[in-house]
Amino acid sequence: MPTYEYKTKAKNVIDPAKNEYLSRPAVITKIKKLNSDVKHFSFEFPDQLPFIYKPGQFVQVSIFGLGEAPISITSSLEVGQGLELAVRSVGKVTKALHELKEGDEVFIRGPYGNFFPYQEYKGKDILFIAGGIGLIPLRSLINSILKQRQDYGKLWILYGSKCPADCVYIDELEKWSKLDGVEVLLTVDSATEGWKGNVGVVTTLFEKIEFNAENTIAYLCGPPIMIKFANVALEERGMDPSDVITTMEMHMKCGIGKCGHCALGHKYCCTDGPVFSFAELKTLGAEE
Amino acid sequence: MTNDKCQMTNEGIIKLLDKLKDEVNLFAPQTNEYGDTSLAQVKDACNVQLKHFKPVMPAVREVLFGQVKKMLRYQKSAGKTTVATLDDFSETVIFGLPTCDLEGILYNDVFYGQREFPDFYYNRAREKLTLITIACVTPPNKNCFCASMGHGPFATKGFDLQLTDLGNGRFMVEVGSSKGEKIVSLSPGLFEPVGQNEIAAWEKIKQGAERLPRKDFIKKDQALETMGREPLNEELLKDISNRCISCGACNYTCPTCACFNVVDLENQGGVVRQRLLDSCIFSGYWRMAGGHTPKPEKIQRTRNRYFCKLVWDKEKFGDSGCVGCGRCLDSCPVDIDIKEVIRSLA
Repeated sequence: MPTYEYKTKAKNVIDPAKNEYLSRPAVITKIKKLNSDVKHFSFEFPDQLPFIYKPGQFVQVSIFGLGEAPISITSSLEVGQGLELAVRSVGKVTKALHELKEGDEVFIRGPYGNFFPYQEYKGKDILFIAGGIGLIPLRSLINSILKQRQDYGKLWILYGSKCPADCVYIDELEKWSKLDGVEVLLTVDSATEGWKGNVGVVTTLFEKIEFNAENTIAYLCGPPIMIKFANVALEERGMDPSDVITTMEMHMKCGIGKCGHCALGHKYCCTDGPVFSFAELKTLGAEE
Repeated sequence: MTNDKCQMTNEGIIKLLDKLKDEVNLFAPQTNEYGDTSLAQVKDACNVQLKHFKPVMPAVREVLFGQVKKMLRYQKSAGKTTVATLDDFSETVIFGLPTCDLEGILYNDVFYGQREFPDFYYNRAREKLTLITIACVTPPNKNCFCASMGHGPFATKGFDLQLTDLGNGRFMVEVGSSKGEKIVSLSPGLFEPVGQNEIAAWEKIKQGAERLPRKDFIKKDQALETMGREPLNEELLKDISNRCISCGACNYTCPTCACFNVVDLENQGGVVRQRLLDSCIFSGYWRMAGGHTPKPEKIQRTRNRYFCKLVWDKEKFGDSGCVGCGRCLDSCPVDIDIKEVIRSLA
């Protein structure tokens, strides 16, 4: 009779007496509209307990009666932001979230998942590539790295969106572009009147920058099609797949590796990810 | 682990069950007025059948989880909202559990009960669960292949009490845990000591059961060796996914399929969050808000199912998740046989 045992050494086992499915009330303190279907929310926890997270992690937001949705964190504790989420109105829970006002209450549990590795890349040049709302989780990382600006080399932020009106965090992109050694390049799929930037997919911006593949770490986040082409283009430029890091989107229902919906090969996006390097993704055979 | 032996008469077992049914929630195989046998709560101990029995739904689904498990209750009154854990577990005994179901529970003990996030609900229910198994000494059912997978017909661990029919109106009782010891010590009159003769008779029955002719024997060790190193047979997967009608019965009846869905339902002025069984063979299982689905093709979901069960479970938990109970084939409307997949690897 064989024995079932967990082969991976479990790190950070939670207190077994804790019901991890139970979420904490959180009050919306500020709402900002980022584009026609994306809003930025700031939260406070009435229980006053600390909420510690790292760039790349996500939370489960509950609106009771409708359900729970996994949302990536866009704020950064490094720069003193509390908990901020930016959400596209796309499903039941997120549509309801968009209806809420400042002062309203939701329920949040987490943070879950792994995080973007960046402390170990001090001294490297950093290339951020974002498409559409892919800038939301990267914003957390960008602000954390900018906090330790002197520890890193050159920074590029390449951002593509469908049209100028779809760009999110446009004020912050402008602020970042004025910093020393930070180059921000924008592109849109289709320009509207008054757009002076690049037109074309985000990979067309690669021609405008010179980066040394040996000494660069790339962080990608965007729609699957963008990820696919950007990855190919980076490989052509000689980037090692283990230096290309992305965050995956799957249906993370429970967030704690039980419900099975976010299986990516033999890994779970929620507990093993959502941050993966392309070297890992290749072994998972997850390039579908 | 203790593994003391004693024996009971058939009447003694009924007396024990009659006592247990008043003290705890007792589940045991019973035949209803329509002639269907299932694992059901015991009202009258005389209705319990003492033969080895494999229920249609594995016990881990039927008793431990329930097809629906209420998790949280959310209530809003006078401007104040509360969320409370629904924690209503009571002492439960399952009598007559087959070995394959015990294996399903031992798998879930690791999958749910351990790892980084031990599952609150599973562990609460499991702490209060006592398992009395009946070893399988009869010829295997049509689709059974537990012996091929090394998961039967006798359990060697994990049970609280294991019963073996000695065929003379008596059962051999093996005590496997302190929970089992407690049952024995609380009803001393019902358990009798065993001598050399009974042990010899039991050994003979056990060896006989292990030597029962089993057709379709699979070379599991060879298959496990190959799993993960060689790709699954794509032609076979294509054939399986062409036949599959995505009904999900294989997932729902599998003792080691653990996936669930979460649904909020309005209830008495509040909301109850509950989890239900789910099936990775449904395309909707993978779909995200906005409509994107990472596995739109049935063959992708079929591949995921067999990789998960046979290859990844072995990598993560030391053995394939298939315990050889044959329920997926019992319940499949289009005769898809997991043995074919395993055999293609061997």
